[in-house]
Amino acid sequence: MVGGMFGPFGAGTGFGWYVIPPLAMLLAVTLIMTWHVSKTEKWTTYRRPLYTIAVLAENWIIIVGLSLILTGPPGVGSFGKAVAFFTTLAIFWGFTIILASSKIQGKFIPELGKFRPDLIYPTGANLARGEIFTGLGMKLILTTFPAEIATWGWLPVWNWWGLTWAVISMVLLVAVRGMTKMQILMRRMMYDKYLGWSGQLIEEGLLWIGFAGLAYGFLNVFMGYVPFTVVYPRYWPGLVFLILSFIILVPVRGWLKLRYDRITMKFSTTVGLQALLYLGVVVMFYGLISLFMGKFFGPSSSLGLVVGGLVEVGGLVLIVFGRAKSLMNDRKGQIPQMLWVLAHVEEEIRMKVMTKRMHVFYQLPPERRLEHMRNMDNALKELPEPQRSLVFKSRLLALASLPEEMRLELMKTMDKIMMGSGM
Amino acid sequence: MEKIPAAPSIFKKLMWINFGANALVIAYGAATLDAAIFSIGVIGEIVFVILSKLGAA
Repeated sequence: MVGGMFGPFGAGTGFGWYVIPPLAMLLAVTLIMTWHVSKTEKWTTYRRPLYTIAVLAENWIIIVGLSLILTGPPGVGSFGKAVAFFTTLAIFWGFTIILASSKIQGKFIPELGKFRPDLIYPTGANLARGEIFTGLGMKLILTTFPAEIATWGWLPVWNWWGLTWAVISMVLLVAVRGMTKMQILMRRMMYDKYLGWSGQLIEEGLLWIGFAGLAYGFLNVFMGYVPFTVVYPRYWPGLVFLILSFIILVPVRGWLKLRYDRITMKFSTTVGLQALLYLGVVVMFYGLISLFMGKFFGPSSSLGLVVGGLVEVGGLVLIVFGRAKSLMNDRKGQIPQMLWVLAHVEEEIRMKVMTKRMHVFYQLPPERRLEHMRNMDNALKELPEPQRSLVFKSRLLALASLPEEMRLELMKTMDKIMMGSGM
Repeated sequence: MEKIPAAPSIFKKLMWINFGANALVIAYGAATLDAAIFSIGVIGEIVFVILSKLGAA
């Protein structure tokens, strides 16, 4: 058997029944997110075809693995294996970037209740898959050693237990974190809870843990080992980079995020925050690779630099552009959902939230105020009766309770919206 | 106050597949005395229990 850098490859580096656990988990999670649940609405109105395709394409990662496993023995590379791997990988990238389209989000329907994977998944998939591309790019840049170029030994190996661990980490990073994040957002608005660092630490802490888990899983996938079984060289200075990534992603990014209103955040600010996130991911991978491979690496060969560089750019585009665009779509899509939740709480809380939103709107420059107040107006129209009237009434009462100067300014914007919709 | 409906019933059904998949990992880890694979399964169960609780909340 061909061995890897740290001894023979682990169990699960090949093709066997051990493909089932990660496949079953991926299929279950993606089917939950796309299944037909409404008795009255057409499936494609609330689960748009593009969304369904992109979500089900999460399972494509199995095909990416098979492209390495079925084209030759583990760890033995060939031109054919490289073509199969990079082609399937490029298709996976394509399936991811389409999640940044605004055509992803379907119509709001009350039957979905609080179950809105369409508001969490697009940003989560760009985040998780962006991390995978960034990590693979880093690994190829740093560890495509000249001695392995002729034998294609630099190609990833693949391990299914590593993938099982990565899928679990992905569920933590995307689903658990996404749902927690939405709950924190609503509790902040409605009950003034988690306002300061407590909410931010949960949010960013889950991000770092999820990232670290996913990064570790995929490094094992690419190296062909079962997680937690190989005694790596453990080059402790690498830990400094892991700590640095924690500082970038948790306190620094958390502090910056606390300064902005989430719903009305500008695209440029969002892009900036994603660029910082990308930096955190790069630093984390550099730390992990040094920690596990025994030293601080520089670029290993020009082939590694070119191939790894391309994969790296793929990761950068997904995290910085794809995720920023998805976040903008999601924030807009969240408004009817939030109003729907608000329609189910006491009048007093609804009024409080609406008054807070009016204050946020007032502080925006006129053009952005118009855009965001129009978004709320459109979201209100999506609600069924009697919930729509309830929220509408609270908005009017909140407006009436504002100081005159604010009220007049906001009413001017509302007039513009009414005139716009009447045209 | 009227309650918002929780996650659709399919959520629960498919969540069982996840429990099953992780149980398979745990069983394999136990049968082969492989502590690493066993732990992956246990952590998987924990993550999916949290997810199912969040989904039903």
